[in-house]
Amino acid sequence: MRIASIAGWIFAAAFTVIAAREHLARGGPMLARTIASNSSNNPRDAEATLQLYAYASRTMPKGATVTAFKPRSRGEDMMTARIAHGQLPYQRVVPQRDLEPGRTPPDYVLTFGGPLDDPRYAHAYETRIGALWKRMQ
Amino acid sequence: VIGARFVLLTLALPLLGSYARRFGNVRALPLAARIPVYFATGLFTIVAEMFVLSAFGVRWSAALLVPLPLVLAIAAGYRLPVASGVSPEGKAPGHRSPVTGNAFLTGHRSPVTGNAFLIPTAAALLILLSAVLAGALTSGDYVIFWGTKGQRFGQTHMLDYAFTLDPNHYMHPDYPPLVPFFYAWTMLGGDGAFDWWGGILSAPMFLGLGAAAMWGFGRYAGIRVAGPMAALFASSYALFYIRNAVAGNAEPALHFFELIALCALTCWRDRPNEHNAIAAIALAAVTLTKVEGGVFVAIVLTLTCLSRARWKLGFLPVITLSSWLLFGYVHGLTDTYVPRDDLSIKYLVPTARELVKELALRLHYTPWIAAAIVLLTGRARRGIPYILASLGFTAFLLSVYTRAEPHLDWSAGRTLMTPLLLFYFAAVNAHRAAHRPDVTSSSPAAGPYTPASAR
Repeated sequence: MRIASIAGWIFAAAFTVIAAREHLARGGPMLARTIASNSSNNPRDAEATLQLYAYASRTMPKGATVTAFKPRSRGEDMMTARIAHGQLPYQRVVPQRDLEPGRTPPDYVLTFGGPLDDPRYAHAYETRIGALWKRMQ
Repeated sequence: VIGARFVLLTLALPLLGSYARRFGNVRALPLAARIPVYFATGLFTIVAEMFVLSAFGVRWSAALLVPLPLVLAIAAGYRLPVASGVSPEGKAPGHRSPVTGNAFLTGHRSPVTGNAFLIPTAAALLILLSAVLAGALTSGDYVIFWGTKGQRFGQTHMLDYAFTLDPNHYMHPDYPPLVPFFYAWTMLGGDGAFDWWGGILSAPMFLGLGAAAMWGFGRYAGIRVAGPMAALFASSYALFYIRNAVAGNAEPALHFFELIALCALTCWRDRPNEHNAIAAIALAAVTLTKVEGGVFVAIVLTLTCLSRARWKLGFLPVITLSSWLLFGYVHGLTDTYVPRDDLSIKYLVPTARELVKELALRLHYTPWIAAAIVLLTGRARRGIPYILASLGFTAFLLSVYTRAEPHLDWSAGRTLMTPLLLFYFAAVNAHRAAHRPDVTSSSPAAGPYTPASAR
């Protein structure tokens, strides 16, 4: 009993110390600006991305249609759409293919890492990570 | 950073689940164990209701979800207890534990470490909380689908499988729905936006509730290493959560329900089946939390039913898992349950070698060594069923990973936390005092003493 208790305590203390060390290695205690400010392989971009989504979600009208994509990395369309669905709760996220001719274009477009080359849209807001575009009437 | 709605609706769950006090000896458990039990019961009840309503195409609402558990909770509060002569307050003055001979209300303090286990436990939980608040542990899967599904379900008030199946944003529609349902529950009455901070803060909450349950159940059963083992659990899993960045994912909820089930099956005082109702609820919740939860349940149920011949224990978990699989089959959500590749023996040895390396958990096997020391200082033979379960689950993982490209580095750090938990409980059970026939026991259901139950 004595050995078991001591062993349990020592190992628990050791794991706690390791956890503290790893937490400090990741930046230590702070109140992050976004849930991903210190996560992923590129936390700086992750933070900027969520901040742009938050701005867009606040400023676009409720129920507006919107799509999001990376103009220079279209292979990530599905991934971008998944994130957009979560981060734009008040708007209706539509597939990127709605920008193709013959389809109803969304009211807004969010681009990351590159400009939107589409004359139907005007630049509305821009950050280091991307931009929000609004469809001209 | 966290909204009041998320906090209030999360705090409502243990109230709605407090009807669990009617089950077995739950009322006699210390508060530290009762709160997690009530929380687990409340969450499972709400999730089960959400699932049933979704299956029938009915959109849920507070008016549909709350009345049943609320009425049960109120009714349970007014009815007198029948089990073990426990008073409505969960106290039995003068009653002495048939296991330890100690007055159980006084608790059991380790002669060596006392309540010192609280120090690493609290420190580990605070470190995990701090890391979550720093935004350092947020899982990509949470942002991509766990949280997004929760938000969508919360907006549509049902399991929107048409959304999760959509090929434009395929969101693992076959993953069980408990965690997204929990998130959807916290959105009730809101404006349709999910509290993303609340989701990641649920990781330290689940871990804290789990550690409290482990200590509380152990104290109830007279297990003197319960405190150190709770500390070991909290510290090692906090470390794993930090390393694997699981905040917002289903792992913390999975480990919590697994732990509640193992506590209920292991930490008994009067008779081995006294917490079977809680175990059944927790196991049913496990099946709705992650795909591999079904395997955990199958292994635990098989070993428990073989050793105790308590078949009724499996009724709720089997019905729950079957219902989910049937729902998935009908709506085309069973992808993960069907192996993608054929098993190939030629990959078995290299994968096994890699899995053995991963079992070190990047800690030189010290979590296993720590539990083994505790195990070997008790009645080690009692740990055998748990060790078999741990090995069985590891064998299942080996079968899953036996592929040309197993990618153990992607997920083994997370999946191996379940067999480790089973091994921890081997150590806990090794220190459970022998069950003795007790003529003073007021439990009418106390079964006959058998050498098997004592050993």
